Amino acid sequence: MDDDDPRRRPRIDGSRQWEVFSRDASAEPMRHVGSVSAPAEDLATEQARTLFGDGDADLWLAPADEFLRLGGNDLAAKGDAADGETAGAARGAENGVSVE
Amino acid sequence: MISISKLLCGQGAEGDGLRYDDPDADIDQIREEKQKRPVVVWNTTRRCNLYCEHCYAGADLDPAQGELSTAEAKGLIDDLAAYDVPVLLFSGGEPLVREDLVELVDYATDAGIRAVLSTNGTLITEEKARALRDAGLSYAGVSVDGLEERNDRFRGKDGAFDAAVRGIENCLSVGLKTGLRYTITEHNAADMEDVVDLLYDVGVDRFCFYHLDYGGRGGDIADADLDDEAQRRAVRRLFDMTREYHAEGEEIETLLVGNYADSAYVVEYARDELDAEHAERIHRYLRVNGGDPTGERVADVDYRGDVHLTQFWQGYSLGNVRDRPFGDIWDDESNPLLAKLREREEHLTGKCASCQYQDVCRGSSRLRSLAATGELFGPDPQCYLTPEERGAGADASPGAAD
Repeated sequence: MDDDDPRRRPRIDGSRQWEVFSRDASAEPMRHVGSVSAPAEDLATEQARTLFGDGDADLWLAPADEFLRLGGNDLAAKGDAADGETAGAARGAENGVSVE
Repeated sequence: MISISKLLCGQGAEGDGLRYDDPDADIDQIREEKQKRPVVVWNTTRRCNLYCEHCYAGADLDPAQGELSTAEAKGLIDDLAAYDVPVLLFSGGEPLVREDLVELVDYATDAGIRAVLSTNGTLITEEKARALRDAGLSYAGVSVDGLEERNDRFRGKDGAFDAAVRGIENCLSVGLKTGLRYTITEHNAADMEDVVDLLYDVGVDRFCFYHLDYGGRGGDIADADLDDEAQRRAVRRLFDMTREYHAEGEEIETLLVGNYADSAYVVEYARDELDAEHAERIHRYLRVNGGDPTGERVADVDYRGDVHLTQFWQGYSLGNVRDRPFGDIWDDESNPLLAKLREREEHLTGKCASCQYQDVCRGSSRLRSLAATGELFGPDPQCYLTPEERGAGADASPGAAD
């Protein structure tokens, strides 16, 4: 993965985002469950506990802009590979529905 | 999304297959099977040429870091198609500031996803409208939030109203189905009916009215939200207006979005103004509709790939599509927030816990509860139902709507 890979670039600008990790028991690994955006650490902690806290689950928060991500879902490669061959075209007739 | 014209006037619409599992619009047929995959709102960019007071996305005039590239956007669309997402709503910011919008609409429709657009309308030239139509766009929802003076003040730019109406006319002139999006607040409730009359004369026949949700800058103007009595008046006027149009043979489609107390109120209205049988039929339809869709039938992916419970939950995400495909994130019920929301009936507190209309409302907006009280499962502060309407009895609580 080179430095131009979009998965490595910062995702954040403006308000601070905090990645949230959780586990139900100390023997389990921490799992990423989402993120909260908040102007201060104590507010981020409170929001994470309200949204992602489940009983006595352990929660870890870390600033999202401090993460360096390697690997993941390479959307650009998927888009480049599929360009011109139209993935999923057969599903068109099945999805005859609309909504705003 | 509650179709008032269907429920009160029996008018069918393309979206009924999603809202009521009733694509043949036969009002007596109700199927129990619910929509299996969410409609996905994609905030294609955070950039916008306007600066609206109520913008849930916190859109800005300047470019934002981390937007999905064209290739990444196609990869996202492939992931959504593989997950059988039925509809992709291109939103923003203002999606027309993305130069690859037509290319991406074309890509989505080729992939079998129905493409619809949410826009401020001001950048839609006739040439652009034709290109979007040819790319397969099914529908353009254009935001107008009042008559000229009020709309332009709200949207932060003189001339925005006229430009939006020109955009609507350009869409209609090339045969692209186009409707109004109107967010009701204290500032513009008085203009609602005049805007409908004006745009109906232009050729619009679909009108979506949104209640204010407290996300993004919408949270900053929560005090401009209508109080209980004003909400009842606005919603009831919409019911009456829809019936008046239909009585004149002018079959407008009207929808309410964002406050599922409206589900209960339309049943109560039908019982008062129509008859008990019609009211019960509406109630059955709304049970199939399933109430507030957060975390189930609507999802959002923002401009940098974060997945949200709806487009209004921009401050909280479930993960990012650059890390995992959308379907993996959405199906992961080991996520405590998703799991709790999908069984929210077990967690609702206060007046929502015992409300007789819980089956058609499901507590409405959890985001408004969170913003107003800090509680995820407290009552929605926008609930305007009286204790009697909630089935709590006349002596349960003082005040019109608690």
